[in-house]
Amino acid sequence: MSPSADAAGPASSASAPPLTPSSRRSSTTSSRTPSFPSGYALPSPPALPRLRLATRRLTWLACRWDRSGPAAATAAPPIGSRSPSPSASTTSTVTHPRSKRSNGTRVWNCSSDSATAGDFVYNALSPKVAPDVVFGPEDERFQPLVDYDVAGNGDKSCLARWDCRAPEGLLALVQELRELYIEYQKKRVHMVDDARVAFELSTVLSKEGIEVCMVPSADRPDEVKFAVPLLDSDLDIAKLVPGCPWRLPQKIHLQVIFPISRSSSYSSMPSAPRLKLISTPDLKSLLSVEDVKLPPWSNGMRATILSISGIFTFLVHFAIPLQFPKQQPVLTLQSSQHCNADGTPIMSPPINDYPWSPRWDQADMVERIYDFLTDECQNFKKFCSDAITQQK
Amino acid sequence: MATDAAPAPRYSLLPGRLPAEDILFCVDVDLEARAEMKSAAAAAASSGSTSTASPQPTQPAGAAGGAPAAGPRTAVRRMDAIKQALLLFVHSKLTMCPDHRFAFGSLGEAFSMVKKGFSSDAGSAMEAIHSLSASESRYAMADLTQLFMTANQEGTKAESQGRLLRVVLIYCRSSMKPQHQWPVKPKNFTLDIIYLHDKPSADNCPQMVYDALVDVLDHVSQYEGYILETGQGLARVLFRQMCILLSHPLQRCIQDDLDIPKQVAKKTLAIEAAQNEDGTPVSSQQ
Repeated sequence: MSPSADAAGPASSASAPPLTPSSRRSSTTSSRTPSFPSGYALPSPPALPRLRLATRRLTWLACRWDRSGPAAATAAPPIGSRSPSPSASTTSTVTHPRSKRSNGTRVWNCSSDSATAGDFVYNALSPKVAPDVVFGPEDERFQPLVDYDVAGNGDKSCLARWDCRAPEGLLALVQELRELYIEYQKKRVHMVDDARVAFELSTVLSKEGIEVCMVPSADRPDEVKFAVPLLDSDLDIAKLVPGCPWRLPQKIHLQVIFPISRSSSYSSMPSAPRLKLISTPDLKSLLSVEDVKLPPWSNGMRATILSISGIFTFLVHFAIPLQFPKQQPVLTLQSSQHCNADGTPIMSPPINDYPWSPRWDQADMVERIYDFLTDECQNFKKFCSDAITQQK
Repeated sequence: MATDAAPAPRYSLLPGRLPAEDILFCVDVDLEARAEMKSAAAAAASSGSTSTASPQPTQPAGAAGGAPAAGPRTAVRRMDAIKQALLLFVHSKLTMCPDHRFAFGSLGEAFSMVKKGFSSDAGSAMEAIHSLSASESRYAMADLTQLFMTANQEGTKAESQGRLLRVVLIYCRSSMKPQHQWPVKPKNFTLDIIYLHDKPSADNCPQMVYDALVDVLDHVSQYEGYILETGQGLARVLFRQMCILLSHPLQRCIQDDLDIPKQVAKKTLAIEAAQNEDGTPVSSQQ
């Protein structure tokens, strides 16, 4: 076992052993689990329920019905068609997304800043018939009823058993479509050929509640939007506070918008994503999300370790680039015992040409860097003492 | 350490963004800060075959921050080593994250700041460090009350800015226990202590002083604070201890489990050594 670098080293064998506390340090200090102190400013506001992301408007051409659905008997135009249905008035009406709806009533429409529009439209002349859902042009490929068919497990949309008397029917339909829409967006985003987005998806999507969608744009590169709920869904602040006037659950999300880089090369640094906080209106009365200053996107991560070889104590600074693991961490060694004339500690030049492969698994990467450093610190020690000698 | 001792509990670093730190240094400027350190060359000569024999003597920078001390004959005092340790800390911490900030003060009979306010500017830190100087006489007491008051006020400010306040006390008196009238209060700063003392003798009581410092630490520190001490008088030990204090309080294990820095040793060396000895391959060891 290598000798401990403790103060009780061999050099002090002639002197008294190190001081030891005669009483144990209090258990409150010893066992306290580090935790982020309360009372700090954002970005973590008190827990609030998860946002339903009702900011997206879902528009779906209700042309395809399940065969047992109420409108099955009537012919309907295929999905993708934008022309009004030529069928009789007993069918649900297919309407053009942005045209006037003379025979329908818009039930629910939530607009967002960039997402597509969604309209749930009831036929005023046949209110008992299930509503049509009209989607925007960007979501042409969203075919939720087709998905049920494709899944082939017998699941059916709630449109298949539409009961106009059921009060929760519309809500169930909205939720169903929303879940299907989320999956559809996830698939779209997974097909994006951008290594950074792929990396984010692989590491982040497993966390519950994070949603993604494509943000197509005519005048700038497409983007991928992540919405990260900042609060647990099971915390309803309205319930926590007696007499709270809020009727709807409040939510707050962090929105992260990644521009998609067209080329897959890393010669240019991908631009930083935009960060934004989005919250429900009631919550804004407590907390203005516009004023919150979010920390800037970091250019890479840094970590520093402390190590010792013999009596030479040194630090190793790791700079982990955004393209990690394709690009290896940059290492810089720093002495604790040697300094320049102005008192700054002597540092090695940045090292990024040590053996490396992004295909190694993490344990391997760590072991090889460790072995490299074990050798390199000897070179660095010599580098430091040479530098000191030159100063004299 | 005995190889059959219970392994230290596994430490894992939780992911998360750590608040930047405001670090207030309080340097003891009592006469005892003028005590001489052992020069590394002298240590190497006297220790014979031990591992402390480093081929190159390492000398801390001179008190003025100019050229390093010329050689083993020039005495390096505690205050010189402390100043170099402070410079080491500031530069290292800013390399790790440029958002950390520093402030400096001295402890005579009581605490007083060199300059008001925290700054992440290395130049202004260097100026403040160089302005510290040890007294030519002993102080009658070491009262920490004002230090804690300042820290408490700054701690509140730091919290409101999403930062973490730390105090690092460097104490040099071998016979004088620190005192304070700080009441039990909500803790909003973390205290670390480095204690440089003489070897215990009939004329001093560093153990008692150390115990008093431990009590102070428990009394005021919000998160796990470390108390590190040395009576060896080796500057490189002080520098190593300063490096340990670079750790962010929210990333620390408890001091009982602290075992860094660890000696580097190539993992393949053990296997090669065994092979060289008896020529038979051995399976890889942990």
